[in-house]
Amino acid sequence: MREFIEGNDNQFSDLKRRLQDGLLHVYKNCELPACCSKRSCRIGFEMDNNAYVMLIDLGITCSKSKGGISLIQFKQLLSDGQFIFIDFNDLKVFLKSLGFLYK
Amino acid sequence: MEGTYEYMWIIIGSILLVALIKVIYQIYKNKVGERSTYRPVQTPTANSNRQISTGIREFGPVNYYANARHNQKDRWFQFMYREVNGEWLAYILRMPSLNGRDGDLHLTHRYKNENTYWICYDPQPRSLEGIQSVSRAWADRELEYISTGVPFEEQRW
Repeated sequence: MREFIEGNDNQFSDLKRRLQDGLLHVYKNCELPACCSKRSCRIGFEMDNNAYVMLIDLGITCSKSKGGISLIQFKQLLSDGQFIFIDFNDLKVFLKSLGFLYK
Repeated sequence: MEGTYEYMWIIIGSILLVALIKVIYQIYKNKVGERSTYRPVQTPTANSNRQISTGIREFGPVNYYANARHNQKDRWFQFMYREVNGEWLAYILRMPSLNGRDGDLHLTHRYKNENTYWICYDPQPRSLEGIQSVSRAWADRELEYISTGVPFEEQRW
């Protein structure tokens, strides 16, 4: 996941462009933060009904307890296995906000 | 002797056929199986249904970060879109605290039924795309109202 959190504008633009095909794009062996119960996972993205969906393997938990709204959102992503955004930019903002998990 | 050779070729042929079937199966599994084991929609809970095919159509939960014109830290809204009698409604699952502002339903353009709130908009959109636009605009105005106290109708966007 670190790969996406540290992604630059060009990489996000490229991801957005790829998602226009309507297919699920899966990235394997994504590095999870140390607070997670697994070291790596699959992360997927797809466009569905004009919304951008981020998917993650189910069964991952996070032991971190302090992190405000971003941590609440991250834990929701882990428990639901998906997080949907109306705007692609919000997906980017969300991923960027998770940088604290690696500090 | 000839019978032994024939028997050997049958065995080799069988092995090659099994190997070929296995290769084809692995290719198929990598392409299709991965997706089918990946999706969480097979385990529906109150918050994890993206779309249900049982007559009720819903989509979500969907997240939106409202436009913050006053550097508000919390601008996270979460909706569940549901089609009811041909109209799409946006149920509010999460929104920033009103921070002491008047939570009057008319002022904040919301309907309420027990602990469930949804966006008040007339006419209610008849498409998912429409309710996405409405909820986005509503969230922007709601956040502005929380920050400034200016009602929706008097805001300039």
